[in-house]
Amino acid sequence: MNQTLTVCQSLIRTGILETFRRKEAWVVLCLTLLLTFGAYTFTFFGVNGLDIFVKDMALTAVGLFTTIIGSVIATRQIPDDISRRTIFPILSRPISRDQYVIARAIAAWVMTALCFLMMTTVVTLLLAALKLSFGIIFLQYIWLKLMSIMWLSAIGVFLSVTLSQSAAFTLCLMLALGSGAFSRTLLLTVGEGNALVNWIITFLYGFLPHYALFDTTGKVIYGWQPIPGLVVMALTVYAVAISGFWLYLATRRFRGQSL
Amino acid sequence: MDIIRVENLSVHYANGRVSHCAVNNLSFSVRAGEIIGFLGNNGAGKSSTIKALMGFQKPSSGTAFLFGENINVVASRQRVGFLPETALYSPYLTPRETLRQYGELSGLNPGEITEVTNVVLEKTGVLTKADVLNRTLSKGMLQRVGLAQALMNRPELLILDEVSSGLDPIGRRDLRTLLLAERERGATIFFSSHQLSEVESVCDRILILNHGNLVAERSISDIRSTEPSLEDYFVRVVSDASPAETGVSR
Amino acid sequence: MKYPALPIFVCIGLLSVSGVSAKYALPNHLIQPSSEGANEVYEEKPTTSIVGEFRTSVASYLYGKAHEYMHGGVVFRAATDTEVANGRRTASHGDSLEAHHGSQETTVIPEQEFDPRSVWGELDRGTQPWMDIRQHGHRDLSEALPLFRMMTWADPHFIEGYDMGSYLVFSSAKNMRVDRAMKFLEEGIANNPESYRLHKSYGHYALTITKQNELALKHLEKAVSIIETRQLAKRTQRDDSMTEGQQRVAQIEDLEQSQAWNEFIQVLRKLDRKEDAIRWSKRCIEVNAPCPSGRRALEVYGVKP
Repeated sequence: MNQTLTVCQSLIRTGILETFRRKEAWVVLCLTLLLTFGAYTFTFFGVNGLDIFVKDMALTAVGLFTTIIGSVIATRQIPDDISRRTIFPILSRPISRDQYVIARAIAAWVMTALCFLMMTTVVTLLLAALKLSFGIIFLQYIWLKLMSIMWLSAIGVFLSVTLSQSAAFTLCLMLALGSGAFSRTLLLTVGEGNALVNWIITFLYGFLPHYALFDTTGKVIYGWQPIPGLVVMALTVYAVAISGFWLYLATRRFRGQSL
Repeated sequence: MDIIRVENLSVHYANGRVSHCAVNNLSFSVRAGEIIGFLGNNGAGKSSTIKALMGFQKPSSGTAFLFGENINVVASRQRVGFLPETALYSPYLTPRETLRQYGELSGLNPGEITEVTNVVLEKTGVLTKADVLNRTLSKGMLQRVGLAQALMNRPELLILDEVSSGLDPIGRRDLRTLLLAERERGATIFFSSHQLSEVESVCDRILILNHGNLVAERSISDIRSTEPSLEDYFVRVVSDASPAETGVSR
Repeated sequence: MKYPALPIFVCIGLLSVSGVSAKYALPNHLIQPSSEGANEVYEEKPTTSIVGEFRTSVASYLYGKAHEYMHGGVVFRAATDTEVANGRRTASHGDSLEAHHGSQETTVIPEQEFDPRSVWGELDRGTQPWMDIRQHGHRDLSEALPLFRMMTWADPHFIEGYDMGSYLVFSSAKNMRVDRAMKFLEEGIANNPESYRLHKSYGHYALTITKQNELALKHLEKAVSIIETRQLAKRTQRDDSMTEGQQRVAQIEDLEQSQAWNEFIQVLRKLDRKEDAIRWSKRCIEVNAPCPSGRRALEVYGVKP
């Protein structure tokens, strides 16, 4: 366990250095600020009451770019190591393949979380300067977003050891961004068929990616009451369990791979 | 004690329905303190053998041991320093940061890492470029960085794949000095190279692979006394050996 | 590769098949959002409400967003026939919501008793904006006004933006600012002088709120004139070759034109222009069969239809 933590620490540190030196994080931060401030500029043309619109644009941008950058980071961890052949000096150390995969996934989670927190902090400060603010539910939003990033990192790493890097990225992004639409459309079909079909659909629903469940942007921007603690706890447990499942599959898959 | 012991090792690669034999029933051993040159043409199976030793490639049959431990056990790599063939280290890190990463992965504490980093950077001639990004370094300098990371944990066994790749003549001379110094320190060295002059000047023994088969295993002193040169011997052995030959010439 | 051009032709073929298939699978998506009533059709089809959020213009996107704003982020969709048959509560069940919800609207996230997802449903209702349709409420409608300002800037020909926007301006302000609503409509009319809907709405405010009958007459007459000149009554005719969505658009348009006709005749009567009232009443009955104002006018004036 100690060694796994050591490996995580090392990969996280170098991963953070890489992420910020690559400038991707800065690009998405700039885009987020542009979109948020851009939404606010309508005020200069006499449009008042833009509070919800500006918050909507801000959190939509943060959510979207976090998903994109999270998918990029998660799906390139292991393929980059393989293509650069840096996986050899890593695995030449007394580190098991399982430890390596888990460490890479945790590193992806931390790197994406940092990008997300950076964007959130800057956007919050910008909104505060524009005299806009979020309620206490915003803290729950941050926590659940961090949980969703955990899921995203796990599935991104699994896809990266199963498919090519570009296919993994595309699929990861589709699963994340399309999860809401998938779920809603499937839900719509329940009740339209017979009892057996309904049961099958309900059963399948549990296997869908529920990334959208973790996104509480709607409640935050409209100032709803905080989410029940039990719901937050249940989603946290779900995130940990489903991430563990995908990581288990990733380690199984990676164990047998020739490098 | 045999530091490396390989017993009937075979490695196959599947290519659709066809299976290609990269290493065929290989057996050899390396004693403590030896410097072994692992030679062969391109595609002879050198890298495949090394990958199997390091656990990157699962052997299709046979087994191997490092320090008496099976290569399937993670702990067998505890005292090994490995240099891969033409690795491209993270372009967004500096050599110092790269070495720090590998030091941590080797289990060194921060104090040890700082101390060892400066030593290996100087040994490998990278000290002046220690704080510039890897992507600004030449191929030869990256090879030196690779060598440096292999030395981070003061290994008792160095396994180096194509060690002189990308090195200029000064770099190769420094490499010879380095390898001999490591042997003085007590390390065992097992490396593959196409630079026969380096091999001849530092190695105790050589193994020659051809089409996955071990076709020669001789000491350098023996070759010097009986052959015109190592190059002539190598060419003769590789030319004479057919793909089906499994015998070892002396 | 033996036939290098083959993948290109395969892609073109697949695109063609998917394009043709979309026409049959999603006929309502092919209705231009700027046509009268098209946005309302979007709200009446369950799949369109969910999948059809990819609107074809910024203005249309903002229009969909406005609906969401009014309900605190709660997303609505039309109820399916099966749901209605199973007793699923919809917004048309009283609560004086019919005026803006139309019929059979419900929330995308179902109520617990209609939700087969057990714990997933609870999590969904916990994390996403949701309200029980039986306790339906609205946020301050003025919060959506900026969107109407922006959608009409984005597309000055977005009729729905001006029409619905003026209604919100009028109904959301505490003191019912009809002057601002009419000013917004004036801008819409300036950008769309041939829109009978905007003239009709303007005339409606003048007739019923500000009691400016001459002003009402000017715009209602213009509205009816556009309907007649462009033979727009043909758009309300329904036949079997139309899709369900096209028929619904025609129905909505029928209602809009009817209102124009009826209020035009009402203002003619208020201004005591008997001959014009009789002439237009007869024409109204001819093109718009029910025409209650026209029939009432003829009855009052003792003229047979």
